[in-house]
Amino acid sequence: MILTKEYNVKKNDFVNAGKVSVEVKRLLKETGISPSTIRRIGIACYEAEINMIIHSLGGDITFNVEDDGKVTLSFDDVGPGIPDIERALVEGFSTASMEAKEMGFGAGMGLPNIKRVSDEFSISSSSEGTHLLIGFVEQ
Amino acid sequence: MKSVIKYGLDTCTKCLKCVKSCPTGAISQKDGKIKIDDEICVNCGRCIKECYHRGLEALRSPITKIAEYDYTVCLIPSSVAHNFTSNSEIEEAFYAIKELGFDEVFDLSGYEGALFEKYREYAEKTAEPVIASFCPVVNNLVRIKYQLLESDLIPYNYASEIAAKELKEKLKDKGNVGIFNLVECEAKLALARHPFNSEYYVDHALAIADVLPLIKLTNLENKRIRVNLSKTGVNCSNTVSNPGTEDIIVADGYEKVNAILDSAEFGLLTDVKLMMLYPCFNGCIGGHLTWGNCFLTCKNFHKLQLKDEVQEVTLSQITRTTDGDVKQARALKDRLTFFKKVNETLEKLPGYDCSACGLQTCRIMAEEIVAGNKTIEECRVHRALEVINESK
Repeated sequence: MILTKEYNVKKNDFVNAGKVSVEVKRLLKETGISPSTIRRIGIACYEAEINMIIHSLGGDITFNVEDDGKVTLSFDDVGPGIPDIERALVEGFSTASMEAKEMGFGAGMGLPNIKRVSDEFSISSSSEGTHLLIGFVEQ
Repeated sequence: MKSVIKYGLDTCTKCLKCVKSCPTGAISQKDGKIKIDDEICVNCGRCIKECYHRGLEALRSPITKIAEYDYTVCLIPSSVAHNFTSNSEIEEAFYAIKELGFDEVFDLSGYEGALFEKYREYAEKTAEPVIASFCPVVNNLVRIKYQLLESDLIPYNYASEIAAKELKEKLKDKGNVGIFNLVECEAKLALARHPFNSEYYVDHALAIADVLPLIKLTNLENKRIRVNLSKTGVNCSNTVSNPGTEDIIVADGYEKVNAILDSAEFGLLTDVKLMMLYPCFNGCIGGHLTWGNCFLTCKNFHKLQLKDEVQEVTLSQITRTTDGDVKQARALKDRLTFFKKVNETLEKLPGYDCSACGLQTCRIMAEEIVAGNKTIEECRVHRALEVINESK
């Protein structure tokens, strides 16, 4: 493993929204991974981080760079879970609060966007929490 | 790009303000000597502003260089127009600038306006938002710090270079032709052949702040040079009269420019087609080497009679042919190994980013240690902590 980092994200912490993604992006630029791959990672990481802030009760983001340059990000929150993942993966479907929408978040593009840009995508959810794992390899 | 910024004093108080102010970590200090890394300096001039002792300065050509040429042309950017309150004043100023010893003065606003039109055409054809490439600071920041946006930089040349190339072609019978460009900032000083012998059509860059105080605007007896300033061109040097449109985002000030580039890297600027980014306040009229106060001169725009016309240009004329120095990319595997070692070294460093070692951050120090240029003993805090631990 080249690098492992863990970050904590709090519910409704819009003030610090995006800070983890900025840090992840900054670190990735030092690795020699190609800009086009980092761009995909940045977009996915930002969307997933914002998702956590808007929808979840908070949780952790784990960022891994593996020996071959593969990057994985896992987002593990503590609830309340996504009732219908199939619907959440449809573009434009949103359950974001008015508060979030007023701040420009929650357009319903989050999960579909993340899936579109990532090479590996797995998600599981129950009322105890949602676990999203995404992976990226150099193309 | 070569750094135009040099340290001129014999001594340095080691306050480290310049080291900390650098957006790319290009400055370091060792034994009172300031060193600037040419590869990553973007010539933004922030360090010059931070140096309380006026030790840092930008290398530039003096106007006396005119004597070295048979025929000289002075390019005048549209930002200069903001120093005057009427068209007749501008025409007198053009005459007065020519009187400093140039054979010809050339108004750049037509080319600046034409470039803006071409940026808009280019932006219409692309899916991603694109970045106007008139500012060398923004261009270099993208190459060094925002690499993910490199393909979004519009590959067009600078207005001064387009004009200088045309003029050299047109004036080739005049012998040794020297093209001088009046510039607003440190970064544009670097867009000239001298003093670095770089491959530019502009031969010398002169600071507006050096030249405007020399001109004599009294007793001109109505002597003028006809100038047809392009409204679009003049607009482009000033963000107050050019606040952007529905799909063009205009921003001034370094922090704003950075925030926008960060947003763009995350793909958040979905409604934007074109980014016009000016690291200086109120656009190019706020450059460090301009004459008037940009918070006052921005108002002069409304007092001028300007036409909408721009110079006719073709794409082959404006497309950039030479690109900046391309850094040799190492293989991914080597980079990853280096990255891993840097992170491990970083764990051993205190993490204060105090710059006491002369480098901006602990990360840069860790990189230097891994590269073998520094040792961990050179970290003052690390050493102090060791002493404290031993005495316990």
